[in-house]
Amino acid sequence: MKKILILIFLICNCALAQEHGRITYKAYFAKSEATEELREKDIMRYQERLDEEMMAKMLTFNLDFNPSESIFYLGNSLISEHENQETKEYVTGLFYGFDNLYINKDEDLLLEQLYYAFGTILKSRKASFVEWNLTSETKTISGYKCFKATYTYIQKWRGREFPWEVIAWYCPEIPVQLGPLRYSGLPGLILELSEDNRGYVVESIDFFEKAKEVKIKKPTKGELLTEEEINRRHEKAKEQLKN
Amino acid sequence: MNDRFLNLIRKPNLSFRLNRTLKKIFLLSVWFSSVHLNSQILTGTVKDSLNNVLQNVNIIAEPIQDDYSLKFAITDHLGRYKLNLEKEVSYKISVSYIGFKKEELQILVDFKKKEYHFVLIVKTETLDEIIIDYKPTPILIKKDTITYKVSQFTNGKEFKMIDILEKLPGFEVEADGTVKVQGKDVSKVLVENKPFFGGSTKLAIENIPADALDKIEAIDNFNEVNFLKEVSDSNELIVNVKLKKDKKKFIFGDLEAGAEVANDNGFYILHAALFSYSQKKSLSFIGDLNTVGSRSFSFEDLMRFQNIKSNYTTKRNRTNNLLNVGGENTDVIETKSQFGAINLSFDLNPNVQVETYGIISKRSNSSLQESDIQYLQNDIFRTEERTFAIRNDEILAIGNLKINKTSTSNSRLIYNGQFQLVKPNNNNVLESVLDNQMRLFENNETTNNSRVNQFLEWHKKFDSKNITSVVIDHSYEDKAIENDWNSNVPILNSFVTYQPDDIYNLLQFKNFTNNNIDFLAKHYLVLNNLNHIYINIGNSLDVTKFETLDQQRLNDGSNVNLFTDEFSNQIRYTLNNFYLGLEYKLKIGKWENKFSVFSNFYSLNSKQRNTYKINTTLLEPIWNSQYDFNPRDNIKFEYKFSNKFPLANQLLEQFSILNYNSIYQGNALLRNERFHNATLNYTKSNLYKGLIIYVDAIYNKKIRSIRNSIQFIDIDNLVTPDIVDTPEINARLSGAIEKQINKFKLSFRPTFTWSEYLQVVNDESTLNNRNRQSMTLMLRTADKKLPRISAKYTKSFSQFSGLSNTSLESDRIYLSANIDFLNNFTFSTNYEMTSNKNQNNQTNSYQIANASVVYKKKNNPLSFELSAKNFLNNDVKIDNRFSDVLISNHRVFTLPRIVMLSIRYKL
Repeated sequence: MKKILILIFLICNCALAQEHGRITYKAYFAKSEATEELREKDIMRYQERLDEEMMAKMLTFNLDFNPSESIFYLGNSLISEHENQETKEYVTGLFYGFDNLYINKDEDLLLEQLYYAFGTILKSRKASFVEWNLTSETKTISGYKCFKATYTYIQKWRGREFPWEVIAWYCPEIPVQLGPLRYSGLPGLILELSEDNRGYVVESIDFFEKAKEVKIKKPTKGELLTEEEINRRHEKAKEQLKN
Repeated sequence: MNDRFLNLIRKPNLSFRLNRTLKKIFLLSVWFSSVHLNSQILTGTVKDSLNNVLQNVNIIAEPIQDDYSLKFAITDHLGRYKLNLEKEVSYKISVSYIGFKKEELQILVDFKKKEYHFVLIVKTETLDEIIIDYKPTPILIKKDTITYKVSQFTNGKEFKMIDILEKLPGFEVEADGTVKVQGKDVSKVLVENKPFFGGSTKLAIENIPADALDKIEAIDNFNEVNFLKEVSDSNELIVNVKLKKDKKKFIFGDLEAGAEVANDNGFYILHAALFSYSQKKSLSFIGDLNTVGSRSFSFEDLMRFQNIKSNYTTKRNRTNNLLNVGGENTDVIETKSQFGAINLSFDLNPNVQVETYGIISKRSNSSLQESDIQYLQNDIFRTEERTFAIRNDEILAIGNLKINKTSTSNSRLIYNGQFQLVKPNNNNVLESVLDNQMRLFENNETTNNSRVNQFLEWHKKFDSKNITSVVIDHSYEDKAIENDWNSNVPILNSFVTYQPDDIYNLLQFKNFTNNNIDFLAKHYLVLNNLNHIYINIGNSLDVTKFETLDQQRLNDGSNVNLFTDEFSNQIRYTLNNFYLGLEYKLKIGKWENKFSVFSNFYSLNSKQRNTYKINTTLLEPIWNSQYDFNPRDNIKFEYKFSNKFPLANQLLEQFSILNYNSIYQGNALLRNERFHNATLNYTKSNLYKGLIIYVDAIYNKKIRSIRNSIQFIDIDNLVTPDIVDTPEINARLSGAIEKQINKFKLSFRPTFTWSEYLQVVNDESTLNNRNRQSMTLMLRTADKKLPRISAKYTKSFSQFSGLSNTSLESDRIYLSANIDFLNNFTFSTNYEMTSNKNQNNQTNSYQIANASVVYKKKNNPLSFELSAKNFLNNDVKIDNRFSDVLISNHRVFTLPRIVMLSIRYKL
């Protein structure tokens, strides 16, 4: 057994170090609402929406990874005080900026640490839950050929189901089978992804030296709750608000 | 199934365990047997030219014919792959790996080869970092607003928007007409995206009919984040009201008429609120006529009308000339109020919005007050009994024009202009009994005040790294005050020598003109995600002309100057402040900091008989710091050092009369006050646990301050400001904790204030201490099914030590209930009991209670209300007050019990 381990270790050492690194994504609104049409109809809403869309572009997210784990979280960004702080909070929340999404490939585990008004919760499921629909459609992003894959994510909320269209453009050339948010498992790094109106696009990819291993902390803070329990709590928090 | 398998084989793990490997092998063999029939398999390895294993390589098999799906495989830790392909389909297989040349392989239908080994050739480029420069193009979609559907929260019994807001989650309506959403003040109300009377909350919530509302935009349900919208020109929270579609075509609103039924004092109310809204234009009218002391707008609304100025040049606060116009007023013995307001908003073209409003208010009040005063002079105690009858007439007219221009998506131009006219007229009769000697003073004060406020703002976003704002703010004020005192004894005879006369008649003329021009250019430079620099260049100019003249009018009608010109002032005052400011903002993890330094070049020039000039350069640093534990749990800190220069009236060299027993003399040698200011603020809320906590601490230390010193002769006094170098300290600590317990909400709000300063009276300085502690405990129902009932108890203590030691106590109980019964009836009542204990342990208290029953049938335009205001018929409110030099017991007479029947008709 020991011999095998040493052997594997040696082989891996020879291989290129593309197992540790950080990928940076920029956020954007995948569906733009600030159209000329809206501007004519409702200038206030147009301005506000324009602010939101500009705000989204200021958000950057990090995806840190090592051979077995990865975590997606909001990178540091300082928002100018010229910008509205309420808009900032809204947009950050919309893009999961208060949340941490952790994947452990070995355990096929997706752990979502979500921030809700009623507290921080943990939601656990299989990382491989996404059943990608792989298409032959391609496009080039900054010289990298990408394939399109789609999926419909069902967000359950207050007894209703919201289908969110997910479009991923992944690049087989980059040997990291990860992506933004909770999405992974495509043969290549997802360079661009949109989930409903949230869009993420890669800004930079850093591969670290072997010596500079990425240590990923599994999120532990928060109660581990089922979908039903999350809904129940949300209902309760809503009820309390009403009174 | 397919993906599952791939998931298993693409998991290279350096430290895999034997168990797991065996399991995989087992699973693999099961899978082989099941899929072998309708698929073909290609296996092999991917290595580099040196025979090194390449792991995690993506192998893509694109079907050459359409209608087949793409297949893929990923190499494991030994560089092995396994592609599961459809039978009778041709594929183009490509292997690409960053840093290597791409390899391709065509496999045609029914290929024979079951194994293929790829060898990739190294490209020369290095691959530490890949930068992607790519702009995604968004899909365009139509408007999709997140809203609050009003009908989900209402039962049709609501009259006005206020009744709906009280039922909406997270909304709280305060007694004075201000609205809070989760503890935060709503500063503006928009109707159909347009500010309603400049955003007035009280006018909106008390006038917009409940049945016209379709949606209220406030909270984003889905994302759990407060979505409280801003108006383009401010940073404040607003509520936007969407009207029902059918209301947008017609005039809607309601009319109300009420008259007294139990007694015959002639009390009445007439109220009309009419609206007309269309896509491009909106028109609102509010009219009110009443004699019961109700007011159409709150003090906050008034401040909003008054403070038309840019949010970017808030360096100095302007004086307020409308203080007594707004607010409920039942502390009178007779009142009459007439109010009319029109708001018109329209789009001139898609890029230009125009918003105008006009307000006219006319009001007459008569009030009666009594006080017992104890003077805290150094030598002996003196007491005075005063009876004060006030007649007050006031006309207020405001015209406002606001233009908002959006030229391109990245630039905004805003102009706001306002004209105000205020004409108060006060007539007071004061009866003062001092040492058994009765003195009678009559005062008539007429003021003419006109004001123009305007500002121009231009904001431009050049790119995501450069934003510039340029603001010019101008205000002009002209105020003329005439005072006329008549008395049976010489007024202020300790200071003033009169020509002997039967009735002593004093005249005072004050003329004040002020121009204030602020300019600010600010550039926001975004260095990178974590570092910002803001550059400020600004100038603030204040030019004031102030004249006072006090004269005695003799019986023969001629006017004589008092003290030959000692009671006349003429000052030309110019204060200019040119400043340069540099602000640096940075973020370290969750910790945000801003360091600012402003270099101010102050130049003060006052010209009276003597001319004084101060030219000085002063540095004013500010440090802001904020740490976010999470968005609903954060701590903020601010420290700043600032300077404040004296105002024109504080510099007057000669005397002027303040009131019947005090005169004022300024001090031309005053300099700037210097002070440190620190605030600390902590908030935490957890909606699931129903818990809200906040703590605010404020600390102010003036190291140089301007203080009034007082010279007493008898009870007449002379007030003069002086520069004091002894530190003056003000501190305040307040907090709140609110917790939901089952169907009730319990909250506790303590407040502590503390101040210490030096007071000079008759050339003797005393260290004064003023402290106040107050605690409020509140319990209210928090369940939709229960009637709305709340109970509040406030206990407060105040202490004063200086010339004497005084401590006062007060207790206040407030109860209110709102109960629906018999389907169409609503009963509401409130009760307030205040009890004050003075320094001699004497207690006095008063109680005020109101009640009303409303009959409103759903879908019927008519509704009826029977109300009883002040049904306990309390006629006087009593409280205890103290100032630096006196302690007083104060009694204000109020309106009697009013029982009214009113009818409302809905259009």
